[in-house]
Amino acid sequence: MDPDERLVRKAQKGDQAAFAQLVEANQHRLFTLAVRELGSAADAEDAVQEALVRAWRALPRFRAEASFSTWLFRICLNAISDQRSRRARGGGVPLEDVVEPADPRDAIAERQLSSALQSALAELDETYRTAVVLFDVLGRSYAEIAEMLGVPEGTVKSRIFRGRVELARRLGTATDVGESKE
Amino acid sequence: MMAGAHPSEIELFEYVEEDLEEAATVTVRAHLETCPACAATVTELEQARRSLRDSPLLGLPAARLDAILSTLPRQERDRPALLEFLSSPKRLVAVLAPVAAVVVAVVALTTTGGGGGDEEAAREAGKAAPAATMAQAEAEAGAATGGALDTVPLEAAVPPVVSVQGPAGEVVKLLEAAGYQAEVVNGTVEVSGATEAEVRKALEGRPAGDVAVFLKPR
Repeated sequence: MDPDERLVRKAQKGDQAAFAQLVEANQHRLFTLAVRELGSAADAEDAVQEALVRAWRALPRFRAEASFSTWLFRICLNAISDQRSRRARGGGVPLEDVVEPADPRDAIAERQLSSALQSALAELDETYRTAVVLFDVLGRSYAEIAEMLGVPEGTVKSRIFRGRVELARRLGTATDVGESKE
Repeated sequence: MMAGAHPSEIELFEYVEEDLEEAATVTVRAHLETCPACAATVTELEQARRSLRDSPLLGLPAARLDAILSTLPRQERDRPALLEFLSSPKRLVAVLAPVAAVVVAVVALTTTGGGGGDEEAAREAGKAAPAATMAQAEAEAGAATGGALDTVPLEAAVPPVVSVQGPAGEVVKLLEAAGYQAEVVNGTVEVSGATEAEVRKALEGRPAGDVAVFLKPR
């Protein structure tokens, strides 16, 4: 039995420490996904909280038909979608400095990069954005993404293709504007 | 890919990802040497990939994570399989009606028989019905009461496709108007004959809310 499976079984029986370990192993990817999708740290925190609570409550009925992390991402994508709908009604909070890089190599440079990237991602079609973030930022496989989104793998590849092309054009524009100002 | 034709999106993508077979790779590479448009697309694919892969993973603030983990609600396993079955009001009535008849008969027999011990038994029997009612209420209300943590439906084993503003009957009408079969089950809405994307589209204009919408299990 792999370590994740053992932890899942413990958590299914109500072991909160086991669930905390599973969360710790996935929280950076979940939070990154939420931030990139929502463009707001506050909204992302709310979405991840809702996803984790839903996952905890539903865990005893998780039947391992998908991998635990794929199941968790699917729940998170739904929570993000719900959060986006709530925000559409109430207005959101912009991305703030409270977002902490998981590996703070060069926080300032990364924040600049993140900022340009975030602006470009925000302008992408939602389906393309989700695909490129899951594949290129979070390293999920075609098969996992296809399962999470309920689409064929060919569609996943097509969405990544279009997302990347759109993103490159928008990033190129952002860089040109930034350079011309300096 | 036919000789002279542009590679498809998928072929260009797989070329960049080095997922193409050797023969196809050679063909695409040869095309790129003579086609500036496709070569530019490949450059864009590579540039975007680099930007995305260089971006950092972001961490949920530790205090927020601690707060989430220290206030986890009860798991659904706290609701036994029997309650799951009884969560449908129709099923509950079907099961409780004969049980209630037996309880009433037993209480009537024991109370007419007299005796202190029988009074205690009657009190216990009296508690049973409110307890069942409470369980039903919990099942019907989902988690519509209480704070933020309680807004997650109990039926979240399969996460809802979307949660929208009620009442549930109106949500059903919207889905039916879009051509899908839908019904209210236990305060939530179950849809059949639709994909997740179709459900989202049908409810696109509906504000978010407490009515969870699920795809009906096949």
